[in-house]
Amino acid sequence: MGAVNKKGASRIEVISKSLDPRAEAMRKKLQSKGFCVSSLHLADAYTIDPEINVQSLDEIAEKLYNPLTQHAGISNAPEKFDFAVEISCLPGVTDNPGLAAKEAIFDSSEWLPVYSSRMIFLSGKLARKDADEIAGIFSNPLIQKASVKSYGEFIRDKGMIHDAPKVMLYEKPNASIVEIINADDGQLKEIGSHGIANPDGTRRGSLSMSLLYMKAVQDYFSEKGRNPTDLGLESTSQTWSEHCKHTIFADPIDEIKEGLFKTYIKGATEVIRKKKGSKDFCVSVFTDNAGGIIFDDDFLVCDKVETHNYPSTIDPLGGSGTGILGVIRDIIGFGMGAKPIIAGFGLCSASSDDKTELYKGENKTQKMLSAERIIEGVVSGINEGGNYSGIPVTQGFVFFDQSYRGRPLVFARGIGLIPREANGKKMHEKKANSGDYVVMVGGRVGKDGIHGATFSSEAMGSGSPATAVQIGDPMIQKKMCDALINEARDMGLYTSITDNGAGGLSCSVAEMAKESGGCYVNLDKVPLKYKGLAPWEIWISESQERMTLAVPKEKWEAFSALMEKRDVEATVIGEFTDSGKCIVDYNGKNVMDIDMDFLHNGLPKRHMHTSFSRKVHEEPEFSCLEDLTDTLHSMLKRPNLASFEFVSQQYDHEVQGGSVIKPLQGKGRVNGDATVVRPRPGSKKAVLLSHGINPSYSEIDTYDMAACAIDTAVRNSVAAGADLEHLALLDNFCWCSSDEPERLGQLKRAAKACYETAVAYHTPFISGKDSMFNDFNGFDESGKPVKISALPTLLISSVGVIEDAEKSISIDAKFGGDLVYVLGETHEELGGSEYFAMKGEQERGEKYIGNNVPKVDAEKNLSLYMAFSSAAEKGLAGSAISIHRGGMAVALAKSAVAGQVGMELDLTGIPSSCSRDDYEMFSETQGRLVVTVSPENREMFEEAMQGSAFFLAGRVTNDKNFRITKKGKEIVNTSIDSLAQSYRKDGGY
Amino acid sequence: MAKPRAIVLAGYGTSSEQETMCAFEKAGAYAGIAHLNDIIENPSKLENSQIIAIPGGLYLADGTGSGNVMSLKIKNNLGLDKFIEGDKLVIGIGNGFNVLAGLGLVPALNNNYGIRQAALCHNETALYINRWTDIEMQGKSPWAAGIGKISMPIGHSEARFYAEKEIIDEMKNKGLIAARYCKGEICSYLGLEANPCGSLDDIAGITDESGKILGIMPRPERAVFFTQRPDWPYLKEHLRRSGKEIPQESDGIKIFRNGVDYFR
Repeated sequence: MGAVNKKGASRIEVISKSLDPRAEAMRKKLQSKGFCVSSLHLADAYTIDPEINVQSLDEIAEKLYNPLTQHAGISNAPEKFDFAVEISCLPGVTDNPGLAAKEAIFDSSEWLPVYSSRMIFLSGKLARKDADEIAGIFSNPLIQKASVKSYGEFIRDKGMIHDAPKVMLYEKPNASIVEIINADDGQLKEIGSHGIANPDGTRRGSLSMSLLYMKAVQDYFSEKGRNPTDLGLESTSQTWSEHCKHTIFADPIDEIKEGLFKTYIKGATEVIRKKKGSKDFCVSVFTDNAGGIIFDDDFLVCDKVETHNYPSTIDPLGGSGTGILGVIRDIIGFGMGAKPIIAGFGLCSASSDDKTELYKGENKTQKMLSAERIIEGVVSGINEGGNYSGIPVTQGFVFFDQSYRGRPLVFARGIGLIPREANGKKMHEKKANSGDYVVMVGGRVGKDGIHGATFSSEAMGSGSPATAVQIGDPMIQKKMCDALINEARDMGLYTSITDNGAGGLSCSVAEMAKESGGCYVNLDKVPLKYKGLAPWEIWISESQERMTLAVPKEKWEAFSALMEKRDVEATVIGEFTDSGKCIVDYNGKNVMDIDMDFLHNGLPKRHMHTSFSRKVHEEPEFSCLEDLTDTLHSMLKRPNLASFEFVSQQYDHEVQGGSVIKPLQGKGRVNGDATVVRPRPGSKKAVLLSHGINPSYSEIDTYDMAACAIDTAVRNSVAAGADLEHLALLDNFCWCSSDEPERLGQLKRAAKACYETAVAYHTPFISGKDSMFNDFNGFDESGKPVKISALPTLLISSVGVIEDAEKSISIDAKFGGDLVYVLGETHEELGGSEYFAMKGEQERGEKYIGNNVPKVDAEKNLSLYMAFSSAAEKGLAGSAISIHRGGMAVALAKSAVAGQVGMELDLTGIPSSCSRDDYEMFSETQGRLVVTVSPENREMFEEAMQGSAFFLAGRVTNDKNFRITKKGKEIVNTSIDSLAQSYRKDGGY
Repeated sequence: MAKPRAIVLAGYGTSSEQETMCAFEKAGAYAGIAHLNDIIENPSKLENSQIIAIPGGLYLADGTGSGNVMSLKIKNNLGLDKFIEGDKLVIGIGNGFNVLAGLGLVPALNNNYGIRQAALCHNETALYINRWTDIEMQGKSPWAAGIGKISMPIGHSEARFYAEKEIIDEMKNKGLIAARYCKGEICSYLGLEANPCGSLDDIAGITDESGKILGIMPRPERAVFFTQRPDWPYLKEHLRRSGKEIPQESDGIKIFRNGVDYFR
């Protein structure tokens, strides 16, 4: 069956006997792109290197295919085809199907490397350049190699030539000394911004250290009378990096000496906790990998939202997948280890019909992936990250704006559950003790993610060093998570745990060493994926699926035995100490000896200065249409408002069995704003998740952008039945050009809004993360330099606990005869709205922005939310939907489509200050909800709402007509079916 | 016998062992989870259980095909006898069905255990799918007895049932098709077609000839509580307004009860 290839590797190809749906999906995709492909066949190929004899190869083939549905053989090419394409991993890139094949073949006995690849056989009217282009569509040159052969070449060469993508590195490099004591400012700058010099004069990639930081390092080492090693300097740079120390949020800014984080974010939480007193539900905030709040008497729930923007730009599939896996490790690393129970996602991108071409290099070199490729890749990456981990992916959103064309934003969220106490110990606390082993658990270390992947495409080919893109292995992580959380934690086998994320061991070990007061690590002990890594690379590599633990010496035997039984690699790489130093040895030599105090507190503070000027945008001028039916339909088709059911259905949101309010709601399957999960089968308590994000308001005022994001997150939660007394927030700032005073000024305003709005709603921040430079610097399609900066974006995520899952509320209007209420007042606030964007695009090919951005009146809104909550608590709300992007008409339409019921509405007399009907329908004024109420509950509901603005707009009907009138005139008249059709256009994909 | 023992296999990427165990407990069994490696080391755990469950999940990321690596691990390290011998019930759910089919434990026509006669292939859409479906349980298997039409979710990318025509015909004649996708309450509610993945003959679950080994694609363990149904907010409102009590359970529990009641 199998055969030995002339190059000394053995090869097996598996092909489907009947039509393979995956092949058919690929063919359809090519057709939609205008390729004339009459047939497409797929084969999964496995290359085993070194070669093995044919007899055992036959035995192996038996394990890799299903004879009922597949053929297996050396080459399973169809009899006739025009081109063959083979896509394989580049050396060092994590090859998950190859790893699975290895497990299938060898079942933990004798191991030989197995490499997977995919063959695509194409027939049709195709030229060579079409085949090359097709190869490009199905592969990513940063992580994969694509080879193309015509039929003739394929026959002549007897198939493809199979190089196994082995990593070829042999010598054991040593640490080198970096001359900084005697360096002048110019040299220090050069090292800080371009990296340490290699012997050949090239540089290793930026340390992201300013001259100020470099001088602080110089002073430290001058005092010690020695130069640092490359490893010591790299390690310091990692620890001081923006992603570890969040210096922009920490350092003084204008008159704010304590910095934005302490003053506005943590400051808000402190004030709120004090006010709440005995009702304070925060337990572990801003100190750990995630924020933890009380769930019930026995458990805490913890939440974390991360971004993975840069990796997702260059490898959307791997980048977003590792984003999800990474945030899940934050949950595993919360306290003594929480069980991941929910994952969430968010994507800000240019829409897939944005065809702007961008290049990283001059002369149209290093082309960036298209928006369409990025979206597709991110969607699949989240699928792999969540589904493979057995964690339901429930909460999610997509937001489209052309400012994200250069750098998409990819948000990954993880939520976990952890016992409050076990073995007489509080589980959110941890402490590595002096004398505990430093233990690395999970995957091995390779060159992944070193310096965030700064390398050129020329550097890659067979036999070249492994690439720097991280791809997670979800299975290693799943096995590790199960072994740690389900077993080792409750057996008390370790004293502390943290994730290996940014900065790898250098950050995780140094961070945990703060608990004991020092550490010693021997890098020779660290298990590697392949030979040849320099010690500094081992220390800062961001290879995925690893945790660092502190294991007491007397527990090591038991811990090690357990991990071995669960097929999880665990290695002692050093010892926590109380020496006050971080000491690292390699190859018999000391390669790092730095004081803990300097490492963690030595970075000098910079005083930042800001400026702010409010931009005045052109006020759009267009007239209001008499009939807004078509306008409503066009709005529902907007990628920012349309269904993303296509995405939601691909994510397993029901694993673990806790799903209550699902991503799609009602008969009409409408994407809701909040999801509810019941994590403990025996209890009705539930976790309610939502979010708010309004980046388009940043173009007018970041204060309002931030205030609206919080109001939206709170309102979405309230609409779904949240308890305002038990609701917390997470902040993710994704800014751009954060070294410019103007951008810092915008940041300061946003942070101030966070403080004021969160304090007004008594919703504490429990965790946050920032990504401050989401700018693309490169070249456009004519080769001219271009800078694209993402809109200043703040994602506010909310997490709430509700007593009884059955009291949560869905968005679908349910029964004919029910009353439709609009709660809250409507103002003429269309600045940055979806309606203005659409009108501008329709009328002049570019969005209108306007100036009247929605303002948050927190006091008024809070009393309305409380009134609604008390009505909902009594069971008076049949459905509720929050009014946000797209305005009131969109919310009404979504509720009706979700319920597959009609609505007969009259807006005459609605509390509103709008001068025009279209503004009233599509204004994005905050603080509003649409609620349906059973007629028998009318009195009780209205009584509950006394003191807040509410308006009875009409009734739900049993026919499928959706009609809105005002002052006797009909302004919308359509059917639910046609609204649903517009809504399901799946605009962005 | 009062309370049977149910054991749920875990490890290497299973993800539904917790909820599967909870469903068996709720149905009245003593239920536990055991790592496959512990069972390989000490097979008596398997021998002492009346019910064996292989839960859903992505075993080793399902490279080389869903369930393939898990089937090989079981076949090479445990063998099939422990699943066949004695008066035992076996259930493979979701990817657990792929494992049972890969091991040749279902349909195992003419008691030819170990021969692959059925397969579960990539969905017609070539994508992972998570949505609710309706199935009709039928045939003589103790797992299916008296259930009829029920609703539960499906969550898989390789769920499409395939077998050669003669095999399907023989399965039909022998009553081994235990569940078929059908248009029922949930498909009507959601406005979705019955067969979510393109399964031949709408097949959602099959048994061996004894009826004791069931492979089923939709997930009964995710349909145990009322609030797991996608239409629960609608039903709740409807029931409340007509003065009726709101149920606590959902359909899937019936399958687990059948399993437990077989031993009572």
